[in-house]
Amino acid sequence: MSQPAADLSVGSSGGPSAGGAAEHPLSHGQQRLWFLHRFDPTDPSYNTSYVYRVKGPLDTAALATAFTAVAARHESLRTRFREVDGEAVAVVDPPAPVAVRRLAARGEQEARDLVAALTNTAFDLTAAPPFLVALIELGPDDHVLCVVVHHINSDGWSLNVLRDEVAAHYGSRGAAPLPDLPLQYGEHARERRWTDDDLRWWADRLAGVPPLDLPADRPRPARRSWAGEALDFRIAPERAAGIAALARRARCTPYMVLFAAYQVLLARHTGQHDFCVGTPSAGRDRVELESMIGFLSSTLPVRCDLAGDPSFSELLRRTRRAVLDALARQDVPFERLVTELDLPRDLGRTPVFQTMFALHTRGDDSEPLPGLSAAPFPNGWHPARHDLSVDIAPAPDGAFDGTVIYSTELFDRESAVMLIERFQELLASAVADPDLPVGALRMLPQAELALLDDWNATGADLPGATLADLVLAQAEATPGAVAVVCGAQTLTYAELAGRAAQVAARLAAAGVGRGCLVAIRMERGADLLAALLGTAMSGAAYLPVDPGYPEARIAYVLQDSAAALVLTSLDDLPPAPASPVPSAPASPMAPRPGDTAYVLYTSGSTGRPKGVAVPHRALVNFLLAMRSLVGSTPRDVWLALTSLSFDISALELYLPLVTGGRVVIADAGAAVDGGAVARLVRETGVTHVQATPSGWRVLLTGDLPRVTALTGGEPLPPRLARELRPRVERLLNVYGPTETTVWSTAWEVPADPGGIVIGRPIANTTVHVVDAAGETVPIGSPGELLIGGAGVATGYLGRPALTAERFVPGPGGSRRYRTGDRVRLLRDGTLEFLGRTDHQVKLRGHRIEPGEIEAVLDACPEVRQSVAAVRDDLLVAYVVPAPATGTAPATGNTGNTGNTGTAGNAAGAGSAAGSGAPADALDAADAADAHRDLLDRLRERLTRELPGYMVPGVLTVVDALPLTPNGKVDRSALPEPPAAVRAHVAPRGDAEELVAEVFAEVLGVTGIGAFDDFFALGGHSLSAARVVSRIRALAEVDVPIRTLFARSTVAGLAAEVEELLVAELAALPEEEARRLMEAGKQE
Amino acid sequence: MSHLVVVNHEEQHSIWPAGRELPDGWRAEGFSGDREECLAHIERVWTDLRPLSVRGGDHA
Repeated sequence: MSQPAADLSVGSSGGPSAGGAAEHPLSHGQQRLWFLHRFDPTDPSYNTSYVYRVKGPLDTAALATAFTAVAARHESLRTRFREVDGEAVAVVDPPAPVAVRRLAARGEQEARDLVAALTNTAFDLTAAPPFLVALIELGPDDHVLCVVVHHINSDGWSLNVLRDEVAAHYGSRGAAPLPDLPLQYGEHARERRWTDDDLRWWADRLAGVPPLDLPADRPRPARRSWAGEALDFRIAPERAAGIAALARRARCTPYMVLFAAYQVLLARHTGQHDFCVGTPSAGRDRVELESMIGFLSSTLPVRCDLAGDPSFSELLRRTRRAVLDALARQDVPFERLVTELDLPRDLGRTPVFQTMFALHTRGDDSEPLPGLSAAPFPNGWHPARHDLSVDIAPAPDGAFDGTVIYSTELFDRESAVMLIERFQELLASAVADPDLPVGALRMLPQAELALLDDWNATGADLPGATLADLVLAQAEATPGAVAVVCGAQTLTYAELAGRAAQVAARLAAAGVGRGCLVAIRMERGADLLAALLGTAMSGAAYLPVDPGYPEARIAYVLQDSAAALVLTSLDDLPPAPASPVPSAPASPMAPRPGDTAYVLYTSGSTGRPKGVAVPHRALVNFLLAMRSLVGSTPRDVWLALTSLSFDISALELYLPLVTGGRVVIADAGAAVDGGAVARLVRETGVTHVQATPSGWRVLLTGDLPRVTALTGGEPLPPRLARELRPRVERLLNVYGPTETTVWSTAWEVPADPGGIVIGRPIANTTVHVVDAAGETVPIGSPGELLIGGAGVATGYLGRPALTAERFVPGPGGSRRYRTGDRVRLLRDGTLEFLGRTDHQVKLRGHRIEPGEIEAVLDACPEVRQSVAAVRDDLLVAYVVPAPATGTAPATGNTGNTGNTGTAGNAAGAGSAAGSGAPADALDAADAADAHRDLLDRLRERLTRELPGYMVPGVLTVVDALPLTPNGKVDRSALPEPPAAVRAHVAPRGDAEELVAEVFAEVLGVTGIGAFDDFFALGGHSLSAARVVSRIRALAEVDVPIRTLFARSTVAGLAAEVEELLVAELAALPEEEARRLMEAGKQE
Repeated sequence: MSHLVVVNHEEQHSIWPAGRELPDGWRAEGFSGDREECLAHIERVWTDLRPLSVRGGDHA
């Protein structure tokens, strides 16, 4: 049966209402979109549209009549929304003429701009039914027709229905019959077509799915917006044919082949093999739904499983199964599922899945307006509903047309372009060889591989020399120049070489030479340097042992290394033979470049300390590379500040000696006294200083002259970089493990550093970022850093298995060291350090990088330094307050900041009093309160800037962070965190009582305290709307719903409510404000 | 049998996933097994960690 299209007497589905409008409840899908609309009314990301350019004589009156007739038939085109007590209802307006907006454009570009303005403007869902028809006139017989409907009343299928019915009506001027409408949306919305079993199936299926962490160009904002851009691409007909052929062979659909390749793309950009991808389903599996306009489509969260590196064929099987399973239960509303899953709250991401993949079937290419020639026109719509969406549709010529929409908050256009190129490459290799493991499919385009090679083209001349050769050559060139200064003692190059030769001769007399290891456990001084060089000249390797180290550690190192000799002073050596043996190159004892120069013990995070054997070739390469990198001259004066047990000391001691400069050796205790170092630098004319970031914090407390600064050994916090950079001549951020010889990459920190990187490889050094299988990851993706080249050490002394495990095969028989560091290459070829692979922690399915939490804390002016770590499944942050906050360290405080050094704890208070602290020193209880205030402020800030799962459960103030003897933060020595539970605090004051009352009412929970969190108590997005509505009713103040998301504790939201009330009072005339406040007091 | 023990021209040992193409300059040593077995084998057979080219002319 058909009915005339012009007949407006279509039955209404809802109950009658006075004004002729009918109301009905929202479907689950509509509730979600309504919530998103309330959350951000300016968000156009749920607009749907179709746009055509039509040429020929257009009957505009008939066009308007056709839209009016179709709108009269379909309630969805006449539905607006309103809210009653926090609950939305759909209001169906009676049929009315549809107004066609008439616009004019002078050219195609202007028409595009007009269209984009229409499609990217949000509807007000309460004001009128969100349905817009616009006609843009380009010429007398040249128009662009643009139709926009909000997704809450529409979907892709609906647009086809709308277009076809309008076409039929227009083409026949209302004479052609339109199909019956057995059902209106409102009736359909009330129907429940799923069972609890289906819901449980989904909940089980999706339990614990981690979010997809696509590597982004910018840090993920704590709260995402819809800012996005679109990018078109095309899969060529030949490749599309290959995809179709593979699909036939694998008994699946081209959609599944494309979808599987997309999964591989995501997995190999993130290193994840478990994540969800959303894929749309039309939701029109019944005949009576085929002609309906309305939001019927749903999004199926398909859980992807790439575990065990399956072949592409196997992944296709898994994909087919997952898609069919999901389709079988597609009637469970996604929004119902989200509630069921009880996900950690994270406003930075969309729930469950963060990317969409869709293959659209091409709608039949019927004429949108019969009698006119029509061609699709770009809709210019590009808001990002998700981090990344891919839409593919078959093109008439056999190709696939694709569109990528990416979040511009996360990605640059170049990254999206590269992503598409890799997708194309993956499709080609999957089609060519579907039996390859997905991890081995070729993904990186040739151009990208060439770029990576280019960044590693660091080849430079490397003479076959040893450390001794370099220093002796310099001694020959400038014998009279000062080489070493230590306290009052000064040695020229000739004197230093002479002493070293003596040491070498005495070592030889003691039977020490090539292949031997000499432990050097001497106090810092000129003798120490002579001993090091003399050992090198003897052909033996040296093992530096800091005399200040704990006895047990020294004993372990001496025993493990089986050192032939332990030198505590030069007196330990036998006297020199009558005629000291000069280091004649022909001498059989002279070391060769492949011989070990030194063995250095490193702790690593697990296992016993192990000795890294570094050959002369590596040390020489390092020194020459740094010489050109730093631009060393004979005028350079280096400060040797670092413990000899830290390999970076090699740079301070030797670089000046290979460039004709001089080295100033500081006392063992100097490094902890910034003032003393500054004086030493000034008095001795030091030009170059190297320290860890922790060390630089100490040095900056002194009045340091402008030097060339090197920082490395731990990540450089951006704030420290900004503080340090203006106070030094140059700042180099250097990076490298002991196993690849001191520093392997370097970055010149610019005057105004933005993001901190560790730069590029130094000479004869290559860097490789690989995934767990050892495959090169794409530029921008995180992976483990492998370092190859001349700096690679020989291995771990006496540890063949450990050596084989960490030093892995590279091309040409070379070896690369697996650093265990997570990094990524940025598009400019510099490396960004992300953290240790073994510091990275997983909590509740989220991968957490402690460095990201530390970065937020370190950016607070009140924080001097911070460390985040996981203790007993709990995320803990340790904070050292900045001195200016009045909570300066209780010990070792020189009181130079001018304010009162306040004890951080009860024990400290005693010592502060004992040391004659001013009488106004706060007592321990006040200090605890001050700390608590600070921690509350920090927690607020963390909550604002980080997703919920990254906010530490425990924040604690410490006086100082424990440091290793090398000057790095010692994570293993962090104190036990205090108990996690914060005592229950009853709501304090009217505002907190009000908020607690509303929470209790909405959630049905009693006994809510001031620090209880709405979401932790079981709140979700829909109940949030009710909270806002109740507060509006009780306090007559309009709290934006996003405020509740940002500040979800009773105390936090109460503070916002108070602020809003104060702002309202301030806006009132003074007289009235006073009256209101007086009235409030009398209550 | 997930890994191979591999050796280069300097008689330096390492391990490599079975089935993946070995970089040039490396050859299979003959032993294969899971990761731990390969490492245990290396611990037994690789007795001199110095590269072959620097082993000559040892100190007496």
